[in-house]
Amino acid sequence: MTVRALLGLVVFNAFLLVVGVAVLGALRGWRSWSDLVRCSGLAYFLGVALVGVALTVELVMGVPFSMATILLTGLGLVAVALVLRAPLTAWHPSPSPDRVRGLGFVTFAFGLLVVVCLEALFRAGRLAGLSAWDAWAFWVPKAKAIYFFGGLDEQFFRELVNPTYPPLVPALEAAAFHFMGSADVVTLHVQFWFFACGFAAAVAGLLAPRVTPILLWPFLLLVLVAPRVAGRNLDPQADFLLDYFFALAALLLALWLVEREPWLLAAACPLMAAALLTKREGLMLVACLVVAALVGSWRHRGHAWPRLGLVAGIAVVAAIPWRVWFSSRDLTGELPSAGVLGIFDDADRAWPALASALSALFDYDLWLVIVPLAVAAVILGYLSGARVLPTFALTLYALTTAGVTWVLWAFTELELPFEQDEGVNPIVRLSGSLVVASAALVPLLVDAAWRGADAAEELP
Amino acid sequence: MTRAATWVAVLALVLAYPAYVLVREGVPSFPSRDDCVKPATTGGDIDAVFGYFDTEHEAVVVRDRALEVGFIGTEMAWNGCGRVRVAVGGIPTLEVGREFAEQARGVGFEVTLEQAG
Amino acid sequence: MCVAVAIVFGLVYLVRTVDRLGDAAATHAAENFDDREFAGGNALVVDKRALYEARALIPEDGSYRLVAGPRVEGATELTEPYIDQFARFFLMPRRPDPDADWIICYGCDPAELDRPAAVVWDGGGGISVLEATG
Repeated sequence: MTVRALLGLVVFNAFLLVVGVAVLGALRGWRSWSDLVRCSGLAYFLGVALVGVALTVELVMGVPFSMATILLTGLGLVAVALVLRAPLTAWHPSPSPDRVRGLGFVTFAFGLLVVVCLEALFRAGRLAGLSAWDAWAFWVPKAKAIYFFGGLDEQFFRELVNPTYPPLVPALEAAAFHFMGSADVVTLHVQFWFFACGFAAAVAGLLAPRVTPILLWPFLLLVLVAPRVAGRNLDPQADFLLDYFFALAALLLALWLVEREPWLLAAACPLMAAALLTKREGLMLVACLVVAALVGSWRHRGHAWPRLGLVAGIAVVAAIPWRVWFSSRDLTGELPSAGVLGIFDDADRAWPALASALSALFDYDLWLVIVPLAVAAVILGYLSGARVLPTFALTLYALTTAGVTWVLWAFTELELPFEQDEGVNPIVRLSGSLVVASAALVPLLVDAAWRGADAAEELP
Repeated sequence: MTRAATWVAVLALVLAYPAYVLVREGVPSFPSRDDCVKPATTGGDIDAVFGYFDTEHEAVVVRDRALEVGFIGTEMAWNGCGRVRVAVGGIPTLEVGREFAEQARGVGFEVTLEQAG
Repeated sequence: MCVAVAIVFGLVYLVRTVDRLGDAAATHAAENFDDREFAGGNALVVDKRALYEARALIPEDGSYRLVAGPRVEGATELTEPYIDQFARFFLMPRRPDPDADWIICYGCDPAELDRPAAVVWDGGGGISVLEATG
């Protein structure tokens, strides 16, 4: 609640940005300062993902968690990026004329509206008390435990609710506490405001050179003002951060499918690893992403599939230490009590589960018209002759919806039809991943529909 | 319009909303435990405060000592900022309050004057 | 068409969102320190003084046990099942421990405690802080 805490968060997020810029410099490089500024949102998120994953692995390995650990972790990542920069130069996109037009009216006007929305979000979050149930019940207590005890305290990580949930978010929150100078759970909301800003900047930066501003900005604004997004994205828990990782990884994979730039796939890797370590459903979402990318690259599978497999494999490897940690302590709750295939014993739950999943996805009061627009964009893409992007998006939407349905179907403790209050409703949270991803995918799809083809057709 | 002028315009518009909020609602506040402390600046209902404490246990000691030496009406209460306040109320003017504080200092209390309520 | 729909809904809901977020900001700014500090706990904590007392009395490296029961005056339906969880969050880094000397009685019956304990603070309404003496 103090100026010092706010300044601490500014420094922490600048630190994450610096790490991400170094990594992006190794993977992609930049053509100019304006190119770097445009990519800063993605760079920031790469920093968040990599620092988060590294801190999680260190926690599992028993490395004492302190300010020095955080700083050395970031510096280590920067050092590795600098060392790898030269060998990875081949991945850098070839210098080409900057396709971003100057600051046109649409970018100017809608960009400004996005900024106003984010400013309002900051005001609402700065002095918000910790009201979200899951936040005070286990996300923030886990962060406090890491902050106060310098590691994965055996007692708290066993006794708190959802002990198998991965500790990436608590680790980042604990790091934020160190930078703030105290476990300030009020100012902590501002950390999630930085995540929201970083996400908006990453989507805008990635899409600006690729789609016309009138496609990019209105959809981004629409997602930011959706009641559920605007109302919940500053809660200090993992839901929206998982959605951001998922959405950005989906966008990078979609771009890789049509552009085949190696850096796009490489950049998706830490985001997928971070998604795996953010919430247990991250595993399901990343699986959906990978399968969608496999289906989307069917025509070029000889080239694409080994690369996708490698990237997915690296992401999964990063998530293994945490699973070893909780499995070795006999912590459970990761899977339904009847097991993955237990759904066949409850076949009567299938239809109500699907109906509940769809009603959450299409709920106007939560998500406005975002999902119907995404469906329309996929159809338009197909009708206009594009194939790769619509196939990727359709597979992703369908698989994720199936995944949400499976959760409802398999976890028999959830009553059907599922009508729990949206504040604590896990299905609403899961459907958020597709809604947030739509901010990135719908502009690409509509652009493909507009042009009548996705760029992949033109590639050799 | 030059490039610099464009960016100045962008910056001005970006700052327009925060500026509007500042004008309408004043400078942002940074809450602390001292929010519940309102120093007396005018006459009226004034409290003489013997101190703030983290526990009632500590507060009781001070309240009882104040009562013992004759400050009748000394009470303790949680103050809405996570602390226990020991005070005596009903002081009508700043002048009377200052005299009270002087008197209290004589028996070892550092009393501050605060606006009641 | 998609773009037009996105623009219309985006603009309409931007105005609503900024308005709503402005109201939320005003509400948060007007909250007193206690309410902000307890936030979600306001739905289940009956007497904030007890947790403040416990936080001040129990050293940071100490431990406590919270014994909840049905005897709290003014309890909500969330109080008894969840006060333990909230205390865990609020009192960190103090550790919950079933054998701890410090006992936060939230509607419990002190006579039923496994060890004799002295009342250190009593807020009335069935809520007290005790310290084991035996």
